[in-house]
Order: sequence, then structure tokens, then C-alpha cells
Amino acid sequence: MEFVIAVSIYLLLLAVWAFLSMMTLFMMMRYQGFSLLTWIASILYLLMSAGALLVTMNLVSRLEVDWTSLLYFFQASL
Amino acid sequence: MIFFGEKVILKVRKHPLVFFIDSFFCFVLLCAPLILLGIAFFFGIKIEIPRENIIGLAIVLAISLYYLYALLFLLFSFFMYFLDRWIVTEKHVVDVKQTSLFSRTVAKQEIGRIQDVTAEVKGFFQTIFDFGNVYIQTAGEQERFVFENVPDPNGIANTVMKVIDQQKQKPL
Repeated sequence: MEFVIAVSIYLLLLAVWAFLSMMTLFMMMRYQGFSLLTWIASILYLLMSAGALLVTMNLVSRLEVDWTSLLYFFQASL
Repeated sequence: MIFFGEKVILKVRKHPLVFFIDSFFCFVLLCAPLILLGIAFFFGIKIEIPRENIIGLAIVLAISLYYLYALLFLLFSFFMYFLDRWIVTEKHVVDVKQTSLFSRTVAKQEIGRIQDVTAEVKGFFQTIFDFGNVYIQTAGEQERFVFENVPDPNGIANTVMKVIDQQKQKPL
């Protein structure tokens, strides 16, 4: 059950982060247009975020976590 | 925002140093775990994430969120720096202020209504890196426009004064 709570909180905060990131990038593009600096900042940000997420996935895959309980929980909640 | 056909004389943002000062906290946030790891390594303390239990997973997910939100703060401080700007055209002065993600103010004033232009350079960093405030006193509803922390404030004040003079000399 603890795994379910930890992963659920993570996914919730990740969704908030993704929403705020997309809104910030969208507003920047909306007001500033497709200027070179906007492109560079957006691409750098997306690359660094993707890197952080890849490192997270790599570290999580090394943990010996019983993922089946998580799978069963989400299946049951569906 | 600007009337069609108006010639843009000047577009200014805050000095880049202001962005670096504002985002310094984000850089500290991003570097702090690495510095702590370095100190631990230096003193021979071995840090290991437990693999079998919930604590290991919680630590990895917390570090992941920490870095993602630190990056978001950095992007946000760039956003605030990038969208705050001032534009001087041959007929208007436009003050674009981004106060938060969904809050933006655009104030416009006719060049002819400007009464006084003042440049201010105050303090050590502003003097060394040549940036400061330009105050534009107008007769409009928003009485004073402030170009905050702009590079070369004296040059900007001179440019605005030149535009005002040119506007006054133009036949009606």
C-alpha cells in the first residue's frame, strides 16, 4: 500500500509540474513569438527535464520494488 | 499594442545580470545536492539508497521532483525576465509588465505627453555594470513610467529625449 501512496503522490505532483511547465512555455511563445531565445530556452528546458525523468526511471528500475501490487491496485481502481 | 506603421526606436529588457541574480536561488537549489554529495565523498561517508524497501523508492521520487521543480523555478524566472520589456516608438512609450504567469499589464503613453525623463544609477553593481532605472514622468493617468534595471539608463534617457525633440519639431 505504501508503494501505491508514494507513486500516486509522485504522479500527482508530476502532473502539476507538467501543467505549469507547458503553461509557462505556451505563454512565452504566445507573447514573445518564435524568437531564437524562446526556442533555445524551451529546448534546453525540455532536454533537461527529459534527462531528469530518464535518470529517475533508470534509478527506479534498479530498485527491487514489488510492482505487481501497484499494478493490481490501479487495475482494481479502474 | 503598437499602432501600425509606427517606427520602433528602442526595445529594452532588464539587464541580464538581474536575471542571474533572480535565478541564483534556483542555481543553488540545483547544485546543493551535488555539493552535499561531494562533501560526503570528501569525508568518506558512503551514501547508499536502500533497494528493497519503500524508503529507497521515496528518496528517488523525492529527488526527481526536487530537480524538476527547481528547473521549473529557473524557467519561471527566465519567463518573468524575458516578458518584462519597454518599447519606445516614434509616437509612444509602451510598458509591458508580466506580474505572474497569467497576469500581464501593458501601459501606453504618447511621447507628446512626456514631461520629464530621469536616469538613475544607484549602488555598487549598477555603477560597475552600468544599469539602472529610467523614470519617465507623464501627464497621463499612469503618471510615471519606470524602466527598471535597464542597461545604459543614460543612453536610454537621451534617446527618449531625442524622440521627444523630434516629435516637437514635426509640423502638425
